Formats: sequence, structure tokens, C-alpha cells
Amino acid sequence: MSFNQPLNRRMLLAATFAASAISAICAAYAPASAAPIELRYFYRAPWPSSEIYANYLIDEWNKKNGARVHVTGASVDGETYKTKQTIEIASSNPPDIFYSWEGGRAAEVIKNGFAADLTPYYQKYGWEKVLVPAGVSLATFGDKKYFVPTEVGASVVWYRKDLYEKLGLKVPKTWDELMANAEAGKKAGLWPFMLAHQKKWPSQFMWSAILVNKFGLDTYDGLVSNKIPWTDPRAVETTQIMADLSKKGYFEPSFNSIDVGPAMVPWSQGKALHWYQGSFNLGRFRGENAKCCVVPMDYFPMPPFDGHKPVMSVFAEDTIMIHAKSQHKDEAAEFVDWMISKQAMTEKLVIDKPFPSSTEADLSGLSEMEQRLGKDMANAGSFTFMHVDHATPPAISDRFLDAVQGVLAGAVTPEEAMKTTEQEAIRTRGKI
Amino acid sequence: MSELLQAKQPSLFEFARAHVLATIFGIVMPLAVFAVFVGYPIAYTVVLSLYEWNGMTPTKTFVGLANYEYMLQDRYFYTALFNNLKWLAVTLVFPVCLGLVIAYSLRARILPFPTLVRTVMFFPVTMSLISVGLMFLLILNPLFGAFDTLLQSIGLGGLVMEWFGDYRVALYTLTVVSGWAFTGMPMIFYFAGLGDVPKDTFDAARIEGAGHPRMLVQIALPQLRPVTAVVVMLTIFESLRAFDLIAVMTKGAPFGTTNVLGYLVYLESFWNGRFGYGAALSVAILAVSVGLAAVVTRTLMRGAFDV
Amino acid sequence: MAHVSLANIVKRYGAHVVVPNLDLEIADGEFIVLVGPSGCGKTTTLQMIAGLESISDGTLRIGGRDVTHLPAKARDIAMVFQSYALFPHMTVRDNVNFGLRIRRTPAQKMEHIVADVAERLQISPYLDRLPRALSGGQRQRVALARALVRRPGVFLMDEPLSNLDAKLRVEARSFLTKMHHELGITTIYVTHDQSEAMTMGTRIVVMKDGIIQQAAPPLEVYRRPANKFVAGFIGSPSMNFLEFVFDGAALVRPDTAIRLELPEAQRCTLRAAGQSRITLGVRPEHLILQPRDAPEPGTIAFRIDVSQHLGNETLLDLAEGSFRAIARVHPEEDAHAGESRRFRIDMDRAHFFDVNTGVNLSLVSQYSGIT
Repeated sequence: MSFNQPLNRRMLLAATFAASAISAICAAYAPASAAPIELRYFYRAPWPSSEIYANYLIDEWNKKNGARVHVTGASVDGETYKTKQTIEIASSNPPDIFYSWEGGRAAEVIKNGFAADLTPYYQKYGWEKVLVPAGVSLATFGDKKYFVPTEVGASVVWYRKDLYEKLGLKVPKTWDELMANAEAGKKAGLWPFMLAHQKKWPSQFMWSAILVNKFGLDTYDGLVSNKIPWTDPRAVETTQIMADLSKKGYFEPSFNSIDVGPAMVPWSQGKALHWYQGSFNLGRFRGENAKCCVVPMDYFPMPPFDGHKPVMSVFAEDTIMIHAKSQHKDEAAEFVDWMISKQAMTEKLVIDKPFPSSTEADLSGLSEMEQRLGKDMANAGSFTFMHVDHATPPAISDRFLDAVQGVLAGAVTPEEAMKTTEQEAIRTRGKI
Repeated sequence: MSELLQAKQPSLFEFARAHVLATIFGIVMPLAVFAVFVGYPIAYTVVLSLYEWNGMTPTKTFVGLANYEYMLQDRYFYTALFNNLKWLAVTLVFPVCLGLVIAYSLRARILPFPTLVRTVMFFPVTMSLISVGLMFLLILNPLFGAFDTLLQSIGLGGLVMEWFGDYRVALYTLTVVSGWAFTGMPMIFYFAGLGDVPKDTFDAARIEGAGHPRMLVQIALPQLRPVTAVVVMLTIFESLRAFDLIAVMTKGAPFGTTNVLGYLVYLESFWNGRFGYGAALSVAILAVSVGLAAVVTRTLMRGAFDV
Repeated sequence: MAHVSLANIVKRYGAHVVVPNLDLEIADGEFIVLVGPSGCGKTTTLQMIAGLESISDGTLRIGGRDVTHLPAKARDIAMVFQSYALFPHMTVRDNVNFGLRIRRTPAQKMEHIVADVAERLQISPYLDRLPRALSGGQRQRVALARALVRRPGVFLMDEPLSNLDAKLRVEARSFLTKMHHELGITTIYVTHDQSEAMTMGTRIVVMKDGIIQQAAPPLEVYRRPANKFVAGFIGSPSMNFLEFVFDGAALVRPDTAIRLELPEAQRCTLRAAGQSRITLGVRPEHLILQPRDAPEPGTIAFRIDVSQHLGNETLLDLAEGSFRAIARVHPEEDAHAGESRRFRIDMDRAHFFDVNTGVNLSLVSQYSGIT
């Protein structure tokens, strides 16, 4: 046969067959490590630093273990994540590891069978020993653990140390003392409390703290776990207290038009005396500085009404779940273990913000105040409370937040506000 | 041409046999594309509105008209619906009228630098509403916003309001911001439309003694009825579709007073995990759109395109 | 009732000058026709008078008032447009009383005026119709009515008849003329149609490139055109132009045997002009067909290319070498296409134009000083 003779059909077929046979054999003999297990990590990135930190986690992991287990990340910004999460985890090709909220949202994901039971991994890796106890208790639903907290937070009353000194004020031990300090601040031309309520979620921090410290944790638990209706007089009274603060002019003017970010400006200028907010704002308070904070400030827990020990809200800000349908749960658990390792947790403080969920993390890089708060959180015990939008399903909390905003604007009464919330709750969970 | 008009109208079937390519590319394919990309989603939405579904479970629960029953007594639904109608009303008054006035002023050469004005006015139309929203959040910020500062510096400090925080004002702030971004659209339509209005009729009116306001209202506007019909139709759809600005600027706050149907659909479906109810709300939007479009067709459009 | 005076009127668009310098006095009650080819500036001039175009320079007076910078509505004018410019969305009645309503005329008085004008213009039956339900002629009368109701001092008309068909146009022409006689309102009428100009105007203003070529009563313009342009523009068919050399006694064509002896008066005119080459202008009716057996001297032989029988007259398209001409002859003449016939030129009524400037040399000698 000569080379310029055109190939006939049979020869072509034979050649094709041979080629595919050879490639199949080659593939079969290739070392197993050539095809690492692929894990997909779907996370929420509310801050620029969250993205940087997630990339650090993934890159470090892949550097060490990439040949065996390779992780790919995909992120969505903070707000959008809520709507994208459902679509992603319900898809036919869901991520192996994903960000989840604590509380009501987590319960919903668990109820629909998307969250793998992590109890075996808690035992295998001994996570319970290293994690902040409050975080572990939040991860426990019934007798199983479904998520791993990677960042915890607390909400406290932040105050301007310099202004306290200037006005000769003392850290209050009771609600009444706090009110007296607020009044003194107001007389001095300051805003007693910063609220920054444009996005309607900030007021719930103060609301739940007042309720817990006035009526006890049980009352609050009853409310968010559908045992006490929202129309309960205690909920109404708490709302009334918030309304009174607003009426007295204890919040900054135009608080319903100011978002938390821009509110840092008057806070830095020393226009406000207190700010009841979550510790996730430490990143903002820190500003460009290496350590907190830009202005002299400190914190104290929300003081109780009747001399009880104050209950501090400790919540899991970031929580990680493994998808129930993941083919590689063991490898995913390995990655989660890396996320809460001492190295990763310590690095989180450098890149991202406090607080790590692991008690092993080295907090010495933080300011004295932050370290103190970290210890307070670790010691807060296993029972604490989440804010309304974490504790209840979104439909209820959204209505609740709307209603409280209405009360603060003087548009609806506290009774009406709680009635609206209860109506929505009935729609979601039925009547109590 | 006249022969064509006088010829007997062929039946669709005869036409299809005579013009195979035109039928396939001009009728069948567009219809198919329409059915797939518009018809199917609408039908699916209607079906979904009869179910309860949280978006996570593989099965949906059939609930009949329960979603609609709930909707009819949902205060949030009515707030959103009326907000949409207010939005429409403001949009018809502010950007549409302003667009008309600017278009007229450009045609009548009252405004200097017509090309520049036209470009500047049309520019916001090309901007994403997300960036418009973010921009106005800064401009109207009560702490350091440029607008309040401007008002104060020209002695109108008394007019400063809580643009987003005050529940009585917030919706109108949004509509005005939306109007700012929308004005260029009616302007460009009216500008083009005015080009088709015979200049002689303006000259005649001028000689008869009409000033610009009268020419605008009595001469231009009646002759622009086809354009107005289109603009009003666009405005209706634009108003009912309102979503972006709310999502960026208020998220329905304060306490749900700036909710509109489009945002409520998003909130109920994706936020609250009630896809069935969200679908029912979408159907409501569709019904309102169709209803308003029918009114426009029967009033403004009627005879507007007769030559 | 007003006289109109245009003094040194200039219209510029940037660097482009449309009307360089226009002077015109229009007496009260005059019917003046601005005529010229398209682009000659006649419409621009009218719009400047109307106040629709600004006046770049110069002074416009209407009724003795300086209105140069006054808006249209303050000029005491009314205008009829070529397109009629009726408001399509208003009834005939609302169209007609539009100006009265603006001036807040009392309803009763307005009713009376409109009824009167409608009666005069025969549009009473259509008062409640929309313009699109009317014929062209009716629309035209509505436009007139709208202009009339206000009894303006000056009536401006911009080719108001050009959208009508030929028959209606002739009717409308005499109608307008009659109306002008009855009302005596100063009228400025723009047209490109020389026959309208000839029949309607008390005075014709022929324009070209924004410059007035001649302003005179129609017959004078016809009989004594100021220059070759006016001569060619006014009259239908146009005047024939033939180039000749003047040898001091007669007109000759050097390469042919044609030689036309001139009467003494015209010899003097041409000698005074001092030009050897001239353009001879002859109206078609002044090319006189000679009987077949007439003697040759002083005539020109033309081949008849086409013979157009119009019934009342016959037009003959003629050619001789590079000469082209049209002759108007009696319909009974038996001249037919293809034959060659001799024509005599009526030299007493012929015109001589400067080859370069186009000036009518016969007028120069009489009105020396005019160029």
C-alpha cells in the first residue's frame, strides 16, 4: 500500500479503535493520585476580608493536600447568600461544604435533609474540646450536631471610654444606671445610643438583650421556639421600652436612614456615647489600625434589670455544614478540621476579624479589650441566646424587624407590632 | 401598493403555502421562541402558585387557591400594590412630564446646547439602577449627604427630610430617584415624536398667538398621542417591575412601607422560602399589568395610530 | 390694514448669508407676490416678516411700528401655509377660532365672527368636522378662515395653492383675488408659480439668491423685464434667448447667413451699450411665422421639431443649428412637425441683454443709472 492511497473505511475504523484502546489502557495504568478528590466549598463573604481569608484557607489546604483532596471555593456576598443558598444546596450537584446560619435557618436546612450529621466527626476530631461551648450548644439540634462554628460573636454595649471619663461616668451595673449614664450623655449634647437602623436588623440586638435581661432567658427561648406567642405582654413591654428610648431621643437623629457602615463616622467623631452591637463590628472599629480600636472604647454586657447576673448573647456568626449528599464527607470533615485548627484560627485574626470559634486560637495579637471579650465569650457557658433573625425562620424575623422599625418611627404601637409578628408566625408555624 | 391593499386578504394557510420561508422565520420561529422564553415561564408560574414549596424539598404540596386566599387578606400585599400604583402615578407625573417638557424645549430650541442636554439627560437611562441606588444612598445620606448640604447652603435647610428613614417620605424618595434615572427615556421618545409633528402646526399656533406652554399642551401633546401611548405603556411596566432600587436602597424598610410587588415576590420566594406564594404574587403583577395595559389600549391607544 | 417696510433686511445662518440686503416698501392694501425659484429666499423673507425666523440685521416695520424683534403674535399678521397647518386634533371650528380663544374673545362675539367668515368661505357645514374629513380645497379654505377671523393688518401666504389640483387652483386664485378686493388687507404672497404671480399680484417681486431682481406690476415685469433672469422666469413658455453679434447695424451669426437688420432706435441702444456680443430675448408670441412663399430677408429658417396643439394656440418647438426656440402661433396655422419654416422676429418688442451681466440693455438707455 502506498501512502498517497486514500484510507478506506475499514482502515479508518481500525485506527480509531486502536487509538481508543491505547488511551484506555494508559488511563487504567495511570497512578491514582493523578485524579484527586474534588471538594466544593460554597461560602458567604460579607466583608472583603472574608474573601481573603477563605482564599487563604483553600490555598493552604491545596498546597498541602491538593494532590489527594482538592478544594474549590465559590462565594456570594453577604446579602445575596440567603437567596443563593437554597438554590445551591437543593441543586443536583450541591457543594460538599457550605456556609450555614445558626438557629432558624440551620433548622430549616436540617429539616429538609441537606445537612450531614456531624456527631461522628465531633467525636473523631474532638471538636467539642476546642470549640467555644456556646458554639457547640448552638450546633446541637436534638441529640445531633449539624454544623461547626468557625466564627463566634457576642453583642455588648460598646462605650466611648474618653467620653465616659470626660463626663465622669462609671460602667453601669444595672439598667437604671445605664439609663442615668444615657441621660447624662444626652444632657452633654451626645447621642446616648447609636442605632444605625436603616437596614432594620440592628435594633433586635438591643431588643433581645433587654428581654433576656429583664424577663429571663426562658422567656426568650419560649418566644423563639414557638412556646410563647409574640403578643405576650413581656414582648410588648420590651418593645415599649425600645419605643420609649426612641421617644426620649436616646438614638441618633434620622436613625432609620443611617446604615451601620456610615455610622462609624459619627461614632469616630465622638457624637455617640454607647452602641449596642455585635462583635463582628470589631473589624470596623479597628479601621486601618493593626489592633482595635480607632477611638478609645470598651464594652460592658447589657446590664440586668433586677440585679441578676447579666446574660451575654453569644452567637455563631459563621457556621459550616457538610452536605448530606456529599460523596466525600470524610474528606470534607478533614477540611473543616483544618478550618478550626489553631493555625487557621490564629490566621483568621490577622486577616479577617474576631472571634475564632476555637479556644485554642492565639488571641495575643489582639488588643487587651478584645482578648478580654474573647475570654468572656468562652466563659459564657453553653446556654446563651441568639438574636431574633438567627433564632427564628426568616419570614418571622423579617416581619418582626419591620414591626420594630415601625414602632421606633412612631408609626405603630408596640401591641400592633407584636400582633403583626404573631400573625406571620402563625402563618409559618401555626398557632401555639 | 393600492393593488396590494385592494387584493383579497389571503387566508393564513394560503399565505403559508405561498411564503414558506417567511412563515418559518417570520411566524413559526418567533412564536416558538416566545412560547419557550415567555409563555412557558408564565405558565409555570401560574402552576407554581397553586402549590406550597420552600425551594428545598423535592416535592411540592398542592394547595389549590390557598395562596391567593392568603394574598387577598395580606396587608403587605396591599401595601406593595398601592406602592406600585403610587410609583406609577409619580412616574407618570414627574419623569414623563419632565421628559416631554425637555424634549419640547430641545425641539423649540429654548434650551442651549441641545446635544449636550440630550446626552446628559439620557445618560442615567444607560446606568444600572443598582449603581444609581448606591449613588443616591450617598447623596441623600443624612450624615454627610451632598443633597442635604446643598439644601442648607441655599437656605432651604427646612426642607431636609429623612429621605429613606421617614415612612411617609421614603417611597417618594425612591420614585423620584427612579424618575431621575427614567426621565431620559420619555424624553428621547418625545424628542423623536416631536420630529414627526408638522412644524407648520407650531408655526401656525405661534402666529395665532400661542406661547410655548399652550403649544406644548394644545398643539404638541394631542399630536403625540401615539408616543404618549407607548410611553405610558413603558411607564406602567417600568413601575410594576420596580425592584432594583428597593433592593439596594431600602429593602422594604422602614417597616415594609417601601415594599413593592416585585420586591415582595423576591422576599417571599427567596428570603422566606415561600415559592408558591411568591408565584401567586407574580401572577398578581401579571394581572395588574394586563389590566392596566388593557385600559391604555382602550383609551390612549385607540385611534392613536390612525393616519 | 398696514403698510410693510423692509429696510436693509439681512438673514444669516452662521456664515451663510441667505438674504444679503433686502429693501422693499409694501403699500397698505397691496397684494404683493414674492416669486422666484426654490432657494431664492422668498420663503425666508416671508418667515422673517411673520416672526418665525429672526432677522439678522435691518429693520422691519408693519403699520409704522418697528416689529423687528417682536414675537409673531405681536405683529398683527396672519398666515396661510402651504400645508394649511391645520391642527389635526381640533374641529374646524376650534381651528378657526384658535387665535380668538387665545385672545379671550367673548364667546358670543367669537361665534358671530366665525359664522360670518365660515359663511363667506363656504365652510359652514363642516365646522364640527375634523380636518382629515375634508377635501384639499375645503382644508385650504379653513386655513384661510383661521387667518381671516382675526382681521390682521397683513396677510401672509406661503404657496397656499400648490397642494391643490390644477382646476381648484384656478378657482382659488380668483377667489383669493376677489377676497383681496373686498377686504383690502395688505397681502404678501409667496409662490414659485409665475402664472399665480402674474394673475394675482398688484405687484410682483422677483427674487433670486436673496436679491430682488425686479419689483413692479405684473405687466411691466412681463413687458420690461429688468434682466435676463426675470425675462426668463416670468412668462410661459419662457422667453427665447438667442446669441448674436452686433456689427453696428444688424445682428449676425458669423458662421451662418443669418442677418437681422435693426430699427434705428435699437441700433442706438446697442451702440450706446458698446457691446458686440448680445443676447436677444424674444417671447414666443413675437416669433412670427411667415407664409411659405414670403421673402427671405430679416427672417430665420427653423426646423419644427414638435408642434403642441393647445386648442386656443399652438406651440412650436424650433431648432436651427445651436438655436432652440419656442414659438406661439395661431391654432389655425398649418405648420407641422418636420418641416422647415421661416420666422420673423418682432424687433420692436424684442429685448437685448448683456451677455455677461444679463442686464436688459433696452432699459439701460432709458433709465440710465440703473444696473
